[in-house]
Amino acid sequence: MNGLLALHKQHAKELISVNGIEVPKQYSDLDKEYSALRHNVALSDYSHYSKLKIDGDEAFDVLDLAVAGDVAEIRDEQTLYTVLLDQDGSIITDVYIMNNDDSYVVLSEHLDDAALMTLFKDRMGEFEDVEMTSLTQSHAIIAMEGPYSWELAQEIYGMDVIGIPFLGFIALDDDTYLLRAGKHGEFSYKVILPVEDAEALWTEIEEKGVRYDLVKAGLALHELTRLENPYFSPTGNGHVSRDPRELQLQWMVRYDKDEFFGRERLLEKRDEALVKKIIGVVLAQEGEIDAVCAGDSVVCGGKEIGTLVACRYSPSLKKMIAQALIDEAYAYAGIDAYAIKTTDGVEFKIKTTATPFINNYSMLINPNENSFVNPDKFRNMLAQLEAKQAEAKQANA
Amino acid sequence: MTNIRKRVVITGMGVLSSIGRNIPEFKQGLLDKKVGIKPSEIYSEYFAGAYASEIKGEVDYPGLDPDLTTKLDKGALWGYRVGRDALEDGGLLDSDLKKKMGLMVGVSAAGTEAYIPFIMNKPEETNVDMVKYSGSYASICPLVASLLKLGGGYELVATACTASPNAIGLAFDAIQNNKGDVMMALGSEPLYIPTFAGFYALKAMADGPCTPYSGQPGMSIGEGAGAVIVEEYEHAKARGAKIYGELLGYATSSDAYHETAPDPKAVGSSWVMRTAIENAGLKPEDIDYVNAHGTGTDANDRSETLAIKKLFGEGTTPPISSTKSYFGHNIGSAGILELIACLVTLPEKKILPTLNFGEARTYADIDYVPNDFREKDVNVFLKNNYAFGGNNSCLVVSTKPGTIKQTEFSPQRVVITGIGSVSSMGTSNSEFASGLTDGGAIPVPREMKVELESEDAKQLPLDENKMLHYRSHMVKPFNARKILRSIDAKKLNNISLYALVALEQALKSADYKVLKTAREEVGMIMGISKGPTNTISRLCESLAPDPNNVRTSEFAMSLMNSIATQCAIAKGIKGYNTTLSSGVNAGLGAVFQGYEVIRQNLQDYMLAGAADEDGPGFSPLMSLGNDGFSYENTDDSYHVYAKHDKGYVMGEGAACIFLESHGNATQRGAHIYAEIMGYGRSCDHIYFSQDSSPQTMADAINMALTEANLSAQDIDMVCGTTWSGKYATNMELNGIKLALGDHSQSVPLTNYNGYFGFVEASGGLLNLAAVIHGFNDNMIYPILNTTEFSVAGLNYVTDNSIEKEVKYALVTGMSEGGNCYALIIQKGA
Repeated sequence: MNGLLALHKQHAKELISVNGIEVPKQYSDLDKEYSALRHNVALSDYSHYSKLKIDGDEAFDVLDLAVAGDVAEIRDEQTLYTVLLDQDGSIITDVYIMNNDDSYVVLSEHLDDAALMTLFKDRMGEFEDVEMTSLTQSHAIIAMEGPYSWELAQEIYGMDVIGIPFLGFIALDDDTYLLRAGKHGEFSYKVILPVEDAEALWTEIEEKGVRYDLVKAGLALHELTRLENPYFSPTGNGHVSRDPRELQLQWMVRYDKDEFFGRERLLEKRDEALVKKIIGVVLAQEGEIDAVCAGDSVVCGGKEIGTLVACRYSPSLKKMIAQALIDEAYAYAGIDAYAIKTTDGVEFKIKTTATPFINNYSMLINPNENSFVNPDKFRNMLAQLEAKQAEAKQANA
Repeated sequence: MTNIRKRVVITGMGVLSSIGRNIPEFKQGLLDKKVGIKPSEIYSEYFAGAYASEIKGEVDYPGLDPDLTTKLDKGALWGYRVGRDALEDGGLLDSDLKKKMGLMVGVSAAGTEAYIPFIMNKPEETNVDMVKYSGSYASICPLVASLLKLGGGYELVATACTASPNAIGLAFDAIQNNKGDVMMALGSEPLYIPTFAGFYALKAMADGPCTPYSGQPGMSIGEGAGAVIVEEYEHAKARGAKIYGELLGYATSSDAYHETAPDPKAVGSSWVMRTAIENAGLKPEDIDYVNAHGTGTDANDRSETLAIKKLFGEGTTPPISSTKSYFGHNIGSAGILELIACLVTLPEKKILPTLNFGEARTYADIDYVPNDFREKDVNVFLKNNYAFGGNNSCLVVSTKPGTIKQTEFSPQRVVITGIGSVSSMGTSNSEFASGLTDGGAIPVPREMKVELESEDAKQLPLDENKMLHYRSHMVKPFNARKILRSIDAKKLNNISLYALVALEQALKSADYKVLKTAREEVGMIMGISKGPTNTISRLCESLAPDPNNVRTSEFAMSLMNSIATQCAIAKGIKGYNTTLSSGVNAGLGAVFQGYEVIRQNLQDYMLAGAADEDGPGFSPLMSLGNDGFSYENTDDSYHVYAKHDKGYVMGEGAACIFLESHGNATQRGAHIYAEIMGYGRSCDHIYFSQDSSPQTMADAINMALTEANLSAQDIDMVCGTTWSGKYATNMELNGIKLALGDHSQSVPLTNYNGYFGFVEASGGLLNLAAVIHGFNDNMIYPILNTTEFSVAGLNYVTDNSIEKEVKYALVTGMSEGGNCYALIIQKGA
């Protein structure tokens, strides 16, 4: 057992084995973890991601053939977030592909190490000059996430952290990367590092995070956060559809790429009429409603037009939110004529909406202007603006 | 062997700015803290709240034929004016030294004014004379050289906001290699509507005079011109020249990050300062002051502050200030104006303040010398400038000439270890080689509607539908992804794509990979003529009727330096980076400068390239008054050097060579295709008369022979690259005759333009590539199609290839106004 896992075993409320790796499912209290992620900083262990290093002169060619996104779009220290499709054009998993000087690191949380490796090997085609190395067991992933995670990361890694764009990364050394990527709409910095270094880093972040009211978090939290900011999830939207069009994930696919696995069928499907698609749904009524759950019907004037795919209470909105797979003719945002009909026949009024459901707090923060810990700086741009307006008002008076 | 770098000093200055139209006025304006940024008289018509630093009213042009003031654009006129003032200030106006004086010009939006009527849908206002004389991007160079009678050859640096400091850098290097004792560097940038609209639409403009590092972010655009005389120190002392300061060193680099935004990590902008300081033999602690780029935009001010902190360390930064708070951002002439501002105030122990300084922005936490002059004795200072595409530059200057120890360098033998080309003959070296042995490509039939009513247009051979029929050498469609693989080619315009494919081949043939750990080891120089004409056309089309609707997506990509920066971004090349938009044969200029950089051991590896794309945009206009264009519609319509000249056939494409030191190449076991032995550049003053003198080309050849330590008899073959036309042909051929004497009767002479067309910027490099391919097979390929030659007494290679072991080859070329190039290479071992 590595030192980091030993720490988790000692302190986390519950562990879970994902892809054969044990990580915290919940550290303490879900509400606290949620609040930290949405308002200050959460610390998580994402070591369960399968991690594959792909080297060699033909590494690009293999990857480009294997995934539906355009790997040519990423240069050194840039990351592509895309999907792997099967031959039917259906999503197998989402993946991050990090380009480190034409050597690549692939991250997937929904396939285990062996399955990911097999999948790429099966897709090598005629390419030979490719070397694949698993980093899954040898490397951990520690994530600092939340609106002020950049500030904490900057304390540890220096001022260059601020310059990392979304889906960019820095190779800290030959074996350690600082990746800015997340699936919940807040700032997120993942450190991919040798597992033997993980415990020390975790401890350092925890210590330095005190000033940021850092809270340690587990994976369970993200069943909610990834509904608030929808991403592909095999257990959420993925269990009702794997079709990128139905899931509204066409942006992860490059139809204009000459060749990739699943392209032919995907193009065929694109020519077919779309029957259903995913749309966001917010219940009109405030509060947590246990009666509503995935599988419930969506109705319009008594007619069933779709099904709830995933449903949870959003503390940010103080309402129930859901994704629903709805007949294409009805699938528009901003309509309040529909309702959810539970298995008990009770109807709850809803309004369809574009996603993400929430306005992430991170969007209000400018890392160059704001700070969580510096009292001389405003916490966010809104506070900054209000102060300026007040100052102007005072000056005019 | 070790060489001591020559001291290079500034001995004359000229300036034209909103705060002063000559050096004393300008200096007083600075001391009076005069802000020249006002509500724009010209652009308020189009843009709400437009502010600019403008040159208002008439400008006087002493010594100039008044007739010309209506025929030339402001870029050239201002260039003439400040150049003349600098000569006068330096006591050189009537000096014989001008005969060998080189001219390095930095501009951004050159060649624009003549086309404004078309851009704004007012073709009836076209000034055909201006189209003729000032219609090409590089025209400022031959115009200023001709008007001021500067004979040392010219180059035009087109790296947008870093153009003029980079031009000064080129002058510095030319002096280091004995290409002249006195050079002129100038920047000239009138403000035109595409530039204003572009920045305005990008929402980069401030609401009033800019306030760098404080208050509301935003830049103020400006216009103006500046010139300096750059001179070897001992030479200056010997003639008793007034000395303003010493140029200790410089550097340029690329962020290789983004088309418009600076790298937020400030890696490149920090590196360029560090490198410039190292090139000057100094350390950061030796720097007393930094005159910043300081545009006032958030992106610039933030990353420049970070770059300065990274270089000097938190808490130990010297004072920095932005002179743009006085007269805005003068784009191509910004750097030279700001340098002059420093040179007229720092010797009086006064550091220029950042004017309009209010509440510092939260990231702005160093000393910006706010609002008031700072009394300080500054010796060494940095002049920073940064440009779109991550083009960075830094000059290191001393206000006390002769006080800083000279640096040394070991002159390197410079070899060519990689070549690449894109042309009508193909997109690989093997296709290019096959094309040479197979007799070249066939130009494809083209047609174009011409609706102009000018006299020149009436002379064009139009059919009844006003269609013009002609031939072009076009690059055949190819699958870029197969060649460039992991590079996203979708967003590249044709010219960048061609440049990148040629560059990729050059790297591959050099067996060199740009490693992440050594991105700064590699630099790049790109030669450009008309540039990204399709992108420029789309940008201009979007300006009328409402310039507020300008396509911002085309703005950055319409710049001449966008090709080099796209290549740098795609390949992660972060070293020396500049763009020479000197027009025809700009690629040869790129080779010369690449050679200089390696020779002086400033960079380990350099790529020198050039690129051209066919574009419908302004082609009919560009052809007006150009009697060299061939309107023949046959496969063999291009007859280079023909007695009865029928004009040239245009081509598109790109070429690139990989340069490194002989030592490096040997160490890494690289195949050496050729070694550069020497070069020469010389310019006639014939822009208006086209009355060419062969002596100018002979001077360039002799300069190359001298550097190569060879005699005319050592030359085994000559490859001319002149396109067509009586004056160019005569100048090149008679120049070769004059320089090589009797040997010219026997040495084989060829010209490969017939194989791939007249590819303006790239032609010289494509010819050079053909010579190198010939080295491999000991072959000299023939001049195509021509049977009778215009100049007798030369040994033209005709009909068939000659099998010959060539040791030394001379490549010659020309650009507008009789700017001559000569390059001598030796076959690689």
